[in-house]
Amino acid sequence: MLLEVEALRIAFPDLIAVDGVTFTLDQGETLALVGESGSGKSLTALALTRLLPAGAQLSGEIRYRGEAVTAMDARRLRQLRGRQIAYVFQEPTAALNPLFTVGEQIAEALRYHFPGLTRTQVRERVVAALERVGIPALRYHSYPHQLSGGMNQRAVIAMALACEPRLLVADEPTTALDVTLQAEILALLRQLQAQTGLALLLITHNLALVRGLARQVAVMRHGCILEQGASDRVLDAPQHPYTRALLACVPRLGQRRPRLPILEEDI
Amino acid sequence: MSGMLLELDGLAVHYPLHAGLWRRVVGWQRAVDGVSLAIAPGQAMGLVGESGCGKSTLARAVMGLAPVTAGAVRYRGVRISGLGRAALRPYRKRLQMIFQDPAGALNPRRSVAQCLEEPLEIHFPDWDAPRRRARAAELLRQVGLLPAHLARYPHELSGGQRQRVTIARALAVEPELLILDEPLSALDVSVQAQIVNLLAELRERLGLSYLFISHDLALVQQLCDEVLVMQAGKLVERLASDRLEQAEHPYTRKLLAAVPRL
Repeated sequence: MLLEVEALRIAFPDLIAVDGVTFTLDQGETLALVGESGSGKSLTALALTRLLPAGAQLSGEIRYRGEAVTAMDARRLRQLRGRQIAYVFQEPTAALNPLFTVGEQIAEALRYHFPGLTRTQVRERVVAALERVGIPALRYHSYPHQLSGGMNQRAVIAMALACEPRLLVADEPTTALDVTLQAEILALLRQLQAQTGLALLLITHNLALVRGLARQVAVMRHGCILEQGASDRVLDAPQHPYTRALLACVPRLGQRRPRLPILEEDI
Repeated sequence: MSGMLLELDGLAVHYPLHAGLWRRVVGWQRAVDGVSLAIAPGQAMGLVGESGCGKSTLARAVMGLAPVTAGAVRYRGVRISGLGRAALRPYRKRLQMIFQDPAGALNPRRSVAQCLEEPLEIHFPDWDAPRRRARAAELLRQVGLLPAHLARYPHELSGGQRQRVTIARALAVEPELLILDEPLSALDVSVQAQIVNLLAELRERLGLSYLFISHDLALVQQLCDEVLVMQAGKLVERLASDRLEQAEHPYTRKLLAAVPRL
């Protein structure tokens, strides 16, 4: 098993943000963690490589290929982060340094994780990474402000995948993009997964993204997983009232209603 | 007089493109390129298109925040494009704009009460402080918040509550038309539903008109009667929102095809 998370708990002095989260993820698989702001989905994702903010108390088990992440020292963690488990976040312009070209930024990650590569090899790998996400090689020398939002998010994905990680954590990867770009980035992730056998952990508040990308889905609220299962089953026949309510309040094309159902606090 | 609230007549916003040492004008970016439309009192009009198609520039031009190159913006038959600050002021009251990011639209150092009372001070200078405070509390009730929220600061509110405050602030001056530029994109789906319902309710109760800008076609359909589709600065299709799925223009079809289905 690539990743096993068991009874994960993340506590801060004044609140328990994640409480008893358990899931597994295998090579080539996709799991979607779905929940609203404050549900603990992003903290769960950060905990996988122990990137939690100061003051967070982590307990439970996280195993990456059988090795306890909770027991790793700083050196081992650096080998894990970016090299084995890579992240893509919501806002591409925040993930990119505006002062460096996208090519240089990808090269930096490669030089860090593969110190033995020659300059030419680094360059070749950067160009290959850019081309894999559909960015022409000549964009190596473009700065983030010279690229569109969709192109920047592609560059971030290229950077995440340049070191050939086994697991990609995509935290709201398309929320900042409009519908056509969103469809484009999702198609790209599907295609890359088919090519490389990458495992994908998709973090989103948008249930509509789940179908077509993730086979498994876990619905989170207040730090707990309420419902977990095959995504077609969860979307078509949700068991938990919260999942049902979350699905009901999304407007759908061709189904205009006088009012949208509102999610009650105490579900 | 056509009886229309807002009319755009061949509206164009072109930005000069500079190049070279002397920053000579080498061409024009046609952000909005000859757009004509009309919104009747009480109507909710949707405007959809991809990022960069000019929909936000169009909204800014209507508000007098972007320079109009050609054409005209008329409000109740009166041309308001090209008016000076003072002449524009009475119209500023009737047209209000709501932006995507409520955190960016609120001053973090001002309480909700201060933020709601400021427009009242400007537009109703003869009101005294207790009257302003009472009106601010009433505005909060209108958007589903409590008078207790008056003392809060933006960082003490959730994203949905912040967007409710920006709506309350827009309502403070009793506008007729709200221009909403992606007001829901930064919010969770459950909060989106609440705000959509609030907007529908306010429209019924106060007779407001909307120009609702979004890239989310399902949301536009839910809230609006008619939809305008914009591509590269031009309107390419206009249709009743119930007929959105029967759209014929290839660009509208492309937008429809990109919508993820639940």
